[in-house]
Amino acid sequence: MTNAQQFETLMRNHQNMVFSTAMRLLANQTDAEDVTQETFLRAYERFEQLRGSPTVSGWLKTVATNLSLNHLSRYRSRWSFFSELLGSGREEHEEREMEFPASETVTETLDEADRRALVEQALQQLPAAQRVPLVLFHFEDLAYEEIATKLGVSLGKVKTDIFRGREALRRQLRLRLMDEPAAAATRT
Amino acid sequence: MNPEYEKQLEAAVRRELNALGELEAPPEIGRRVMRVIEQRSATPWYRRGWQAWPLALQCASLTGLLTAFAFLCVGGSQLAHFAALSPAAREVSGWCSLLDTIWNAANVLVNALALAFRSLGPAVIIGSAVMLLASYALCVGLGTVYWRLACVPLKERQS
Repeated sequence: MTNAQQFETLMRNHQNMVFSTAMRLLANQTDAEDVTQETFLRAYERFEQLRGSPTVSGWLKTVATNLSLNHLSRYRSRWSFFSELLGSGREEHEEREMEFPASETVTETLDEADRRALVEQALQQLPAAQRVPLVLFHFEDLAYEEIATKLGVSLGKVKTDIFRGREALRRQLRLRLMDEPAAAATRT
Repeated sequence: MNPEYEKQLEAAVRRELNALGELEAPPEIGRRVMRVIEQRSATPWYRRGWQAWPLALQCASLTGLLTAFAFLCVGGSQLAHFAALSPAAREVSGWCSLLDTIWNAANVLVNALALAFRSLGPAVIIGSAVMLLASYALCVGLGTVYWRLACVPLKERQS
């Protein structure tokens, strides 16, 4: 098997993971494709070291995450992203409602594939300031402190944004908590 | 915010997100990457950026450039001696006078540093270097404090 064929195999095995990482952070198909391409080009430059390494998956995920965060802060929505991070425009995003129908038991009445699509859609429609820390927490398994360091914001802001992101998802997906009546009473 | 509610909310969201699999990457991604790789490897080394040159060529080009610079500097200063002999040499000497000046300035700077090191002694030099580093660290520290106090909004600090 030639070098190129080996690299193509590696790419086939990991492209969904890399694309998912970028897509969930960027919420934009074209940008996610660009980041995926750049991630694999960097992997090709280091293919000699990565070939057969057990950490290749982690390496690709880290590179895709960092490239996505760079992309967010540098190009895509430079000003809006940072204004969200620094707090201005927060109210506007809190008020924003997502535009897809949701019944009382929205996730329960759909089949598995539709339900996943709905959750993905809800995630992608979150404002970047909520989506990015939420994705880093739940998909990249980063701690609050690590997310704060990575994004260059305070720990309190990360916790608040993640909480707001979860709340928005709960509202949109009509998620039921285990102890719903008691939870509703003590929510505020 | 109620900690119990937060815990339940986190668990509910985690359940939903964990159920999501990987998204399907567009099938053309692989072809795109391979096409770029082929284009890059087909580009001759002299058309790529210097950083992408082979290491041996990087070393050779750097050595060549430094040698050429040294020759120009030394040659410029030597040419001044022959400037009186021919008009052409005078012309070239004029072009090289700037390089000669740079060479002389670099020489003077190196000699001055060597003299300072010899006359002041290593203790004073090391002390000065430490003071310089401490001043730099102080500037960074004060800048950070200023950023924390003045630039980060009060609301965020309280959250």
